[in-house]
Amino acid sequence: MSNFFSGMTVRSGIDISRRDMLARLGSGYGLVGLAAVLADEMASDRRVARAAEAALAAAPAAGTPLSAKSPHYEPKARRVIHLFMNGGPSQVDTFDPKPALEKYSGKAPPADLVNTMRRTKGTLMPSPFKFAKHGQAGIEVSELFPHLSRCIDDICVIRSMHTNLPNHEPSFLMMNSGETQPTRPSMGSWLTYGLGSENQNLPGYVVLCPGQPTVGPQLWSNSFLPGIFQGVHINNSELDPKKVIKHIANPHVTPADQRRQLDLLRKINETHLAARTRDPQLEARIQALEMAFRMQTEAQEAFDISRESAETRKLYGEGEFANGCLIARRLAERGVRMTQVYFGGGQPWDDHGDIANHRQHAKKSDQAIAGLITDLKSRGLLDDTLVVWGGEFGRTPTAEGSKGRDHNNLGFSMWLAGGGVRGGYVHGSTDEIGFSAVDGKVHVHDLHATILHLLGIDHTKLTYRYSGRDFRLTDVHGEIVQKVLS
Amino acid sequence: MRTRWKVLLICGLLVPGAGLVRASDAPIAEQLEFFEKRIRPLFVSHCFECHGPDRAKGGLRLNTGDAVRRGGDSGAVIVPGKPDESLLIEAVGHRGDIKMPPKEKLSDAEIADLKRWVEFGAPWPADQPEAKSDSAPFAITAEQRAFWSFQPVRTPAIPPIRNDHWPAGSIDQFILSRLEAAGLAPSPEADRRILIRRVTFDLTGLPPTPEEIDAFLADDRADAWERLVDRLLNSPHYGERWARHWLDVARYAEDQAHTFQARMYPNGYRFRDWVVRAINDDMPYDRFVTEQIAGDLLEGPTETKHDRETAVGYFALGPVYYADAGCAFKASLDELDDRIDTLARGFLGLTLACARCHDHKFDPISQQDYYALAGVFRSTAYREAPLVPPEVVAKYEAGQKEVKEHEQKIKKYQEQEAERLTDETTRHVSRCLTAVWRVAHPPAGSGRLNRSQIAKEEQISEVVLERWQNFLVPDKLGELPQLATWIVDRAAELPVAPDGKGVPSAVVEAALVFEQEVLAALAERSAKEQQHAAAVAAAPEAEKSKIAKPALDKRQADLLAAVAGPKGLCAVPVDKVEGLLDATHLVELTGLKARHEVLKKSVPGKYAFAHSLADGQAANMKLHIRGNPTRTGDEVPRRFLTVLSPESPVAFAQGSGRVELARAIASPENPLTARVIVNRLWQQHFGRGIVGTPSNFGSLGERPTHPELLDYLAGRLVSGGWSLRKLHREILTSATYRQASTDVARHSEIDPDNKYLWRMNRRRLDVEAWRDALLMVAGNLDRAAGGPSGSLTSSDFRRRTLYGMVSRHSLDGMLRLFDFPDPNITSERRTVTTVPLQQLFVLNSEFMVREAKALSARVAGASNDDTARIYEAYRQVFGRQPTDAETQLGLEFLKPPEPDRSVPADPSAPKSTLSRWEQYSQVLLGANEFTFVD
Repeated sequence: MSNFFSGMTVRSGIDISRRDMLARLGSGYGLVGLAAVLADEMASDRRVARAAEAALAAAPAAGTPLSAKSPHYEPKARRVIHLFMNGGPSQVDTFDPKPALEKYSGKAPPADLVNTMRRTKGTLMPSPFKFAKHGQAGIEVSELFPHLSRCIDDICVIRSMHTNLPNHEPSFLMMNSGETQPTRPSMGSWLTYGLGSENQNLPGYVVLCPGQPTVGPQLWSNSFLPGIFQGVHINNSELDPKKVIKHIANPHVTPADQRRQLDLLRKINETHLAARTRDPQLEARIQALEMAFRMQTEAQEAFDISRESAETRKLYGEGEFANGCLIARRLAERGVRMTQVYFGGGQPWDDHGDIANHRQHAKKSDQAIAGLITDLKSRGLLDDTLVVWGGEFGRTPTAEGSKGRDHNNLGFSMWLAGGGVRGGYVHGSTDEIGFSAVDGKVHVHDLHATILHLLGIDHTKLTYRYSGRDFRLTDVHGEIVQKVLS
Repeated sequence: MRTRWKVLLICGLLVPGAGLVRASDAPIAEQLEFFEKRIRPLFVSHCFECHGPDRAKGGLRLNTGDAVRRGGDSGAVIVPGKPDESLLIEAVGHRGDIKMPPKEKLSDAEIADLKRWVEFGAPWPADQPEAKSDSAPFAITAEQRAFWSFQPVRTPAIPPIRNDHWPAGSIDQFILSRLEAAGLAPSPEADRRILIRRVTFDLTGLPPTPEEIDAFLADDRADAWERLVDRLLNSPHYGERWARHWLDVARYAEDQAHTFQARMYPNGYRFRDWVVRAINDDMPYDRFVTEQIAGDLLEGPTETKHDRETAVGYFALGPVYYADAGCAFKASLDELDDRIDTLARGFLGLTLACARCHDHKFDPISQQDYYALAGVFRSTAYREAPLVPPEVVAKYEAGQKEVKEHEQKIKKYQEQEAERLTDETTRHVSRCLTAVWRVAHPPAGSGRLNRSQIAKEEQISEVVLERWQNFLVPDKLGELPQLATWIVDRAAELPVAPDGKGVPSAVVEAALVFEQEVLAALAERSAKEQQHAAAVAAAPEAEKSKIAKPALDKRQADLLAAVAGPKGLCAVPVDKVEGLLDATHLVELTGLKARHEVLKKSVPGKYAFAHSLADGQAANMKLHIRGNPTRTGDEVPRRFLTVLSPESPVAFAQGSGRVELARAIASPENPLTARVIVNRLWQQHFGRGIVGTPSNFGSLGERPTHPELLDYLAGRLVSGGWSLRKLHREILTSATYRQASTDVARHSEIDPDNKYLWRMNRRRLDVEAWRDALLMVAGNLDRAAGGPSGSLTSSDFRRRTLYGMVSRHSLDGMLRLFDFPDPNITSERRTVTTVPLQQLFVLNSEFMVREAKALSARVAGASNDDTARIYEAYRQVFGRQPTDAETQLGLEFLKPPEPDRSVPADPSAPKSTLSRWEQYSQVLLGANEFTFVD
């Protein structure tokens, strides 16, 4: 029995309660569906059983004997939307103004401030973008984000992020899984493992990206966690809801014909089951087939942004990323635990050649992100939705070539907004030129610990036994950043 | 950088029950946990060298609570609750006279941790046994040696039983004795139809054909079952099925998880095929192990040399991590970690990964053990071993060399021409200037010429023109005094020269003046060079090198630096020469390039090779203190694990040591090797191993449910010449295996997990068997064996799933959906999940629709009558006749009318293009009866 769930109402004898649970599911569609399916896995498999309990624990189906609260403490946020600015936005051009760069423009940076593993070693380059104070908090944001600046009082900027390596692939993996090699489950997988999902007609962990980001599917891998916890990648360059989720519709039969097929299948399966007395795995598959049938309607609807009003569409603006943000809100509304929206395929923010290209990326995302925050807020969803913005690392305050910036892992900016986050606040700082985080440093592990904390999970107790060891998202690291909490 | 390495993996701290505290305990428990996580490791790694169990510099030790409270020669080092008054905090802050650690100040975070701990009152868990520290010498206790899995394999006595009618052999006696002890009884033998389906899937991963079922049912010989088992064990599909189980352990894949500069394994399938062959040939398991670890180094018949080189694919196909500047070293260490992990868990059922940073907290594995093995793999290199005669390789290499040489020739020609053209452009630099003017001042009214046209007319490279454009701007002109008077604008005021290009005469003149300046500088330089050469020629030998080159004056030197030479404004890039060449030169270059194309096609292509290994430079590794490669300890000789060595382990002497390592693992004396593999076999046959954690036989793994049976089987394996086939046969001919899977309520209450095997476990087909069975009953299965992998997503790919590409980077969607393990890490068993997304695949995927159509067509061929067709469909899909009720259900479903399949008026309206029979076929393929094995 995992220490994570000690003290829960659900005991290890899930066999006992299973029939009860299935009976309660009945034809009505209970929120404990996932838990039921999971609980019906080979009972001898302790790991899956534990996973099942994770889902049970989180199923907010009040009034059933299986209703359980979040395992560790009352969560501030119930779901996460992670806006992944893949490629690495430059901190000194976005959220971390450095007037000193004007002063030292064209000069070599002070040796004691620079400690990069990268080969490019240019001279200091001021930001081509102007910064101004915004909101009641008076937080400085660059001119790249005119829309977002108006939401700054809801945002907590962390200017003191750092990570291990200045290379894309290891840093993508670190941001997603807390390890630079492709050998660990992603944060979304950990979250769905720990909390289950609030909607059984949708995947619990959705990844939106037109095409694929650098590294690819390993970024949403379940790794050694059961397959059910892997992220479902939606290529949102395709907007036809019939096509966004694989196998979501059958183009060869009408819904009425498919219902007829399912009725026959159920009869055949029930006859088969009756001859075998009790078998939870057979029952589970019968249930899962029915769920799948219903999921077709709900999932298509969830991804169908044409159902949004013209006003809402306008709020987000146009483009793949804007559509991704809008889908993310629809998924948040429907209880999806974690949605990642990648800015684009590959690593678009990787502006080695000319930092001015940041303007294009900002233009494609600024309105959409501000729209998302505004929309979440007006629907009362921002209170319990955690929005995370950032790349896998930042960029050098020195120039690469004449106009670009290279990778930098020693200091960069991210921001949080929503459930449990202290809005209108800046946490931490980098050195005078914006190279390294110096004050209130936040490692990616610390960010993970904080995100888990906001979701009601103690990061040191969300563990999974594999290969003779209990693993965590934060490995042996991670400190909750108390100051960013509201 | 420094802190990152400090505590990579503290395995023990995360284990429930092993830590000091639980969440619900009092705050003091959290403080102690904090101590164990933050403070003790810090003392161990930074302070013990001088203040630990072995040394007490300044009279201070920091290894026990008492010692810390006692303090050192300077008195108390800690005032509990008051960090500001504590000498320890002052010392680590490097604020006073005492600065600790003297060489390297702790990080701010570490100092903060120490302060926090002192604020807590410096709690130290007094009642806990001393945690094992890095400096405490590693010793294996008698208790650890006595742990069950390190004990030699015993020959257990066959236990007594009461029901002596049931057992068919010794296995059954072991099983029955536990059942009887638990108050359980075995289940009756399953129906023969169930049995043939069970064993056929089990051994071949395919369903039995209706004909095979009929033949078995009709076989009334006493040994009909044994004959069936033998037939299947001799089927080529047996190797395919059981190879896949091993490939899970081997984390077999054909690429890497990352994309940049990833090493691919296009010949990876050769290892997969080697495993299939080894299993079909019943290669003795000890040999199977030895070849995978050291095949490339083993002596043996020449004709099987390539097989041995392929066998080490177990390691050679391992993940290679992204390695750019800064992370290359860590990546190489992580790769070693993969090799050690896959070796230890795969062959020995031991987890060694935590010993990378410290001695294993639970098993008798020291950090030295880890680095002893790491040294073996560090001394091993990846090698692509040719599987063809040396002449073929030589021809390939010669061809490649020829191609390369030709490429050099082309490059040289281009360089030489670039130099010539650069010189020419420099000497006619006025063209560049004029061209810039023309681009900036298109003649009014006439069609505007673009830059490339102008460049062409002026016979200069467009790149050069662009460079001049960027240079001839007011900001830059000052850099060359010769251009101080260059006319940037005022076009309208100037009379146009009579050259027809619309350029003002003043501009043409200015350009020519500039050109003269350049030519003069060139001439001056060349004169000076000649002068120098003459002086050198005239001077005595000893003086020659002392004669200084006469310098150009600065004005001219600056001019030439800016304009001439390979870095000047007039430099023609090597890859742009083609556009500027005259006809003769152009013909020459095009000829060279054409020849290159011909050459590339005519040289022999890449030969067949295996991803293999070779011994590299043999060298021991130094221990990495707390896993930190920048803090190395003593060198550790390459050798086998201490706990598995009869006395103290002997250092390996042959090359990397892989042969010795392989022999130590594949030894009958090794208590783990045979136990681990027989347990894997048992797990696949029954759904659960005798040890429930097949790759962890250590103290954190599960204990065997039937330890004597495990030893009995391990002993049988070794005495049977390590033949896996014999072992399969013994297991499969047991009464235990042939039990029905039906639930018995009373037994279920006593043993809900069926640990004691009072019945057979009903199991869902894994993704390979399920896909293969779908293809087979639909009549679509292509049974071709071996060879390069295909894409599972391709509709043309109808081979067994084993032959589908396995990707670390982007695992096939169907595999992913149905619980295929992540091939980045070794897998001991498949998890089984049942989720709606899988059922969406059943309901809607093109794959299912295609197989349903094929099944429908197949059945249609059997008869025109629906009842007879239903009969045929049941026979193919379920291997049995339908009941009357099932036939009725089918007829009801198939009842007319057929769905309207005409094109509807509104093309977006949903329509059914599947006939009733196709829809019916899909239902049968989606049934639980097809998906599960009783």
